[in-house]
Amino acid sequence: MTDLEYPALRQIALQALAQRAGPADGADASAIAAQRAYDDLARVSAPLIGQVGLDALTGRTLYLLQRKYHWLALTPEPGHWTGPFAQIIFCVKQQTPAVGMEAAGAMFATLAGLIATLIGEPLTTRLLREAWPDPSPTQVSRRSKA
Amino acid sequence: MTDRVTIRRLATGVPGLDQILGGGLPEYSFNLIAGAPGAGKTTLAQQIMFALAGPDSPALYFTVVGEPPLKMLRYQQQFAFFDIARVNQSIRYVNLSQDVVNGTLDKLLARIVREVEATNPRVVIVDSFRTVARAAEHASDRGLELQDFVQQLAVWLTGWHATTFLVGEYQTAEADQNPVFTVADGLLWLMQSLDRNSMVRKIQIMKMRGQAPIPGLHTFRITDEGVQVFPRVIVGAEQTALPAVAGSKRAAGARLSLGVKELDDMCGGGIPAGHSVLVAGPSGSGKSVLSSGFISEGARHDEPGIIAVFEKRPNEYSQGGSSGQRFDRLIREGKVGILQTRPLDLSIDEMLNEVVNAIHRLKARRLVIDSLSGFELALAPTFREDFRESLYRMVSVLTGMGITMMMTAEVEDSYTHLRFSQHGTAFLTDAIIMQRYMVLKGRLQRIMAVVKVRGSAHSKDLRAYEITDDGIVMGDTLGSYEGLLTGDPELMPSLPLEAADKHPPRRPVSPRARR
Repeated sequence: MTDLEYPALRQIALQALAQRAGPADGADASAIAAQRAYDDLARVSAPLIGQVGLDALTGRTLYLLQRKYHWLALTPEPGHWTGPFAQIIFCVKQQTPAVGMEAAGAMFATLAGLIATLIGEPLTTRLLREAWPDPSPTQVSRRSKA
Repeated sequence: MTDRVTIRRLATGVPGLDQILGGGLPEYSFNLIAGAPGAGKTTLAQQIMFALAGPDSPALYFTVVGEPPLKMLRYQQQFAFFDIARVNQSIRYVNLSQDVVNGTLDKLLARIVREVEATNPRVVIVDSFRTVARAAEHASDRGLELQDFVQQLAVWLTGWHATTFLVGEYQTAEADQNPVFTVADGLLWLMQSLDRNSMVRKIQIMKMRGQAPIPGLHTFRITDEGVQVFPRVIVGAEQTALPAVAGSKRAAGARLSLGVKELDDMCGGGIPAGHSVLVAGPSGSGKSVLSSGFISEGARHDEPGIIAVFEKRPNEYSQGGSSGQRFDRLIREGKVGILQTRPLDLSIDEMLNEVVNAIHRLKARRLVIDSLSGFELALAPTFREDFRESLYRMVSVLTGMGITMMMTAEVEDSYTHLRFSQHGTAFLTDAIIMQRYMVLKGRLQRIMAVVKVRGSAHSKDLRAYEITDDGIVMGDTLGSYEGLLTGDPELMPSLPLEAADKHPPRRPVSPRARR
């Protein structure tokens, strides 16, 4: 997966995930954060690269991550499979928050890397920044106070 | 003041396109870019969009089933015009694939309307529109008919003050029946012409309401910079199409030196400015030497010049001797330019475009094309068929700009008849200088004659000449011989031997000549 390593994109992805994690630290916290981050990314990227394109890249992300996180091969009940991202969420929910969050971070970093290999890092960075804007200084200070 | 509405014309950002459109793209027009796959439609549409879009004039690019958006973004980024910073700023891409696959034309129109209302774009592109039409044809619940859809889309987008392009794969035969062609204000047709393994891209403006496009097929090229169109020059229109060279007005009747005084004298005092000169001769006769001397002479007198090279390597002009060194210095000083064009797939209009650009860059007043045979070979096969007509257009345009041009033509020595070019192009030129070989005193001797100088008296002499490190050095008139053009002249019997010895000097008289 080294060819997909884009440290700057990984950083943006991890930051976005952390912002969306919220105060809850239950089993679903990482799944909720991942779902929010993915929805924001889909809102911005699907018009640009097409929903089919996003789905395809998410599917490849799942395939690549299964090498490291074997438990991502776990599939929902037959009839409940609604796509690769739904499978990732389903699997993340089965894990501890820490493991789930780590896998979700790897998932977004890989997905961002896959997009970048096709449309370039600069355009991907623009896309991620639009989907996951930098937190304003106010938000940051509020969060740090909390 | 007039009551007529003024149609603002937008600059497309595609070199040459505004010219063939008739002055630019009419604002709010509804256009179709059509052609076969690979014709360059998407690249053209994107280039226009990036030129027209700005903070106050956003653009919406609808991608539909066809080239996957991921691929389109990947490839289009390779062009210089693609500015990443403007994506999702002044330029928004919206993928409509799902809407086309799952919906009807009513729903698709509603989606487009929603996006347009949200963005208020000045430019809208739907790529590929053909897939929209195909999906509509195969839908079980078709909703709006295609014709109604196109009509409503056109009206609606014009109402929103958007200049629109539909991009689609169409065949020319469809133009009569397809409603899109009827509704469109502008129709830009792109094609690839294949001839003997050579591909040439062509564009035709089949219609452009409200203005007069330049008719016919124009060639274009796609490079890293994007699309560049080479407008087909129409003789008679060149005065407006191509500006005269700055300072090209000379005194009426001005004559220019060819760089060889004796030859100037033979021409009646040099070549009239703005004339075209054909130098015809066999291989090694010194055509390039004469033409580089013509260019050097101009450069020394504040008349920069250009040599368009088709046979030799550019550095061959500056090799050897003092004249070569002087020539090299003139190049370094920017008084002489050398154009070496890419061979084998050129069009006359592309060549003309490059020459005219170089002329304006150097403020050139003289031009050499070395040689016509090489030039013809550099053209794509499809353009070789009408080489004479194309050359006529090029010569007319360039001399119309005030350029004095010299063209070289290699002709095999034939001692049974006179030929000045293989292309039947001699009549296109204002002056002809002929070079050839003959056998004199047991060795090959070069001779030169001025065959014509339009509107001017000139010498009819045949003169010997030599090629030296300083260029061409003229010898004497070979007035003592007859049958010079047979290549095997004989001394005129009425002349004494001493007279023959004077013509030319420095040569022993051959036994044959003594007969």
